[in-house]
Amino acid sequence: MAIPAHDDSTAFQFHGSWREFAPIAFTNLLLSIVTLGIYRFWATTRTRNYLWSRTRFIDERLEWTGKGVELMIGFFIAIILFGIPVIMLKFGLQALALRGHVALAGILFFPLYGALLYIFGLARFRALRYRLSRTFWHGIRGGSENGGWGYGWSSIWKSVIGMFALGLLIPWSMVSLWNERWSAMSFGPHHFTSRAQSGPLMGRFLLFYLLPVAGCVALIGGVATAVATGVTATPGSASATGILFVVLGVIAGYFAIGVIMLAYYAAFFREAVGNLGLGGIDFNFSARTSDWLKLLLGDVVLVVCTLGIGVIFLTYRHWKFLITHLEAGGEIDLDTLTQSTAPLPKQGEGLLDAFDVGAF
Amino acid sequence: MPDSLDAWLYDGITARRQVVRATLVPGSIIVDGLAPIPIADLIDRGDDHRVVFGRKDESGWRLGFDQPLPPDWRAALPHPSRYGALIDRIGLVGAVIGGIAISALVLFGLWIAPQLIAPLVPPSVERKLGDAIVGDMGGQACVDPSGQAILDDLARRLSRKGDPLRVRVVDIPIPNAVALPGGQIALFNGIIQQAKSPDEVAGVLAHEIGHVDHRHVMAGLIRQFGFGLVLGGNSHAAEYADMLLSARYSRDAEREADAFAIQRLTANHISTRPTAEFFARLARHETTGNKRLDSAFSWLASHPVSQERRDAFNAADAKIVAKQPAISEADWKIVRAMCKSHHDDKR
Repeated sequence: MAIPAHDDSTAFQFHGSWREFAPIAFTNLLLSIVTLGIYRFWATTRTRNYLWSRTRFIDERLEWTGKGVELMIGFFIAIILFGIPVIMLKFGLQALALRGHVALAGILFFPLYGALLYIFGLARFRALRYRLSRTFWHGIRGGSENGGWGYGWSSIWKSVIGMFALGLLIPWSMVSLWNERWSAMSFGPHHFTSRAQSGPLMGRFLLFYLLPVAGCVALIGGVATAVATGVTATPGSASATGILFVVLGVIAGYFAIGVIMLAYYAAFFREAVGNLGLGGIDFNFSARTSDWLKLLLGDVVLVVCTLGIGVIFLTYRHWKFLITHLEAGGEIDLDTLTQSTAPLPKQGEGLLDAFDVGAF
Repeated sequence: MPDSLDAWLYDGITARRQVVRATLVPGSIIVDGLAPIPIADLIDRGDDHRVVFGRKDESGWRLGFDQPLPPDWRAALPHPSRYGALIDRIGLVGAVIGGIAISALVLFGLWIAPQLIAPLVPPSVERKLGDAIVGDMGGQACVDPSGQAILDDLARRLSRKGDPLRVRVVDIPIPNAVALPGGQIALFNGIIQQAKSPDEVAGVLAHEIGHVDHRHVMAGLIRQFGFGLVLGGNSHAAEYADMLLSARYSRDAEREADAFAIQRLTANHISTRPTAEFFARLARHETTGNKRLDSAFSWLASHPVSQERRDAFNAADAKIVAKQPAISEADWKIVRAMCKSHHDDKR
């Protein structure tokens, strides 16, 4: 079966509507509140059931088969795995330091912090594996034969290398981890191939380094202007102008950092997804910086205008954004797309829940 | 009434979609070319938009129908799960009411249980816990053997036998005193400097000893831990509860600590009226002259003083016979000077 490459209809389509999703979102919120939050695992499952079922790939919908109880078990495992190093970092080291064993506390800090980094990497890998293993299409699922134990180590040393050279290697570290993660995943009998490069991202990434320079230039310009106006104006109004200028400068600075981050992430996702393949299919991601900006500003408006209730619609918006911009081309042979032999992990992505980051 | 319908099938082995006929017989469904499948093995994987069934034993197997099912098929086949198995059974309204009831019970239990559990924690465990959390108070404690001996003696007289106490003065100029885990009581130097008589300090100290005696501190810790555990997933809620619960003891706890203080002061022939006056001065923000500092950090912030509490101390005073100062004039001078050397050290 061939995939329409550059048609009006792309391979991935989203058919959901927020009116259809609203009853799910509101009952999820209600049940989560009255159960002191325990229902949220089932709430997540219901949300995904809906979102997956309204996502069409070529001729068939996706299907989510994960269960609430899997997420809950994953969450409890996460509490134990993360809880131990976090409690030791927070209280154990503090108690040691308070008693004068500062050196010992310092020495213990690194292995504990390393353990946290390792678990974080492991969690990220296993969340992706869990999601693929619970995603069905044409009765076929994904997964990974790999448990992610080696990926945990990679995530430590690649993150450390990323810090070298004033952080210039961060794009390399992110791309390389993405490739490693996705290359270990499969769908049916096919392995994903991930060959993203960090080179194309460097231009955007260097903007982070340009920003302080631009800031200094703006500051000098501003001071010069203030001095120039200060000559004619009264001292009071001159300092008021100065304060206004500093406030505006800080706001502009924050906004500039935000936009540069978005620009970088937009490029990262285009590069990362654009070099992802599966069997005879190549993936693409079309969202540009302006699309991401619209998404985030829309999020803010939605949440602010509904006094926070809109938060329950964010998952829906983000999934729709992901699917709308996801494209695929190539061919699939349904006869050779056979069932995955990868093991089915028994518990959900609780580990990643603890960090509240996306799984892809 | 059709006993067989057009259907499609994914066998869960390859991705090919097969067009099949499905026939309903009592207890099972027959898909042509396959052995009969017991209805008990089927699960509904459909929704408002389509009719699909899966199998409990084969994860990728799907049998779908492109038309709505006839009523007798619908009645015979399993129903879709909506909110989750348990809630589907009792209904959304029932689940919400039940959820509220159980949650209220759990929260009530978390509030009540710690006060019952706390006395069961051995003092040695609490002491170790206190050491782990507080350490040596970051070097803020004022070290002065003679002053310390006077305070220890006062604390011993004000406590009941077996109360494991460690009283210390910390060099912080705010009128406050706190009871910490493991029987540690920190008197802030501010409370000593601003007290008009040693009896006021004795009253506050006796009150804090009351918290230790009733295991309020341990109960507070357990309560914080319990709420953190239950609401831990929703970190904002936990932080909020944390703030609410750790900031102050319950009214009952305050009353218990007051009763303890009055009883111990009476037994030691120490007047309770100065303590009531001290409460009144706190309430009028006259201690530091800085209203904001007082209300945010003083003893008042963690121990709200009501008229009722003041009255209790005033009323008790009449029954105290043969009053004598909590500590002698000479000793009081030594206690007031405890943090002097600490200051000098720092300079």
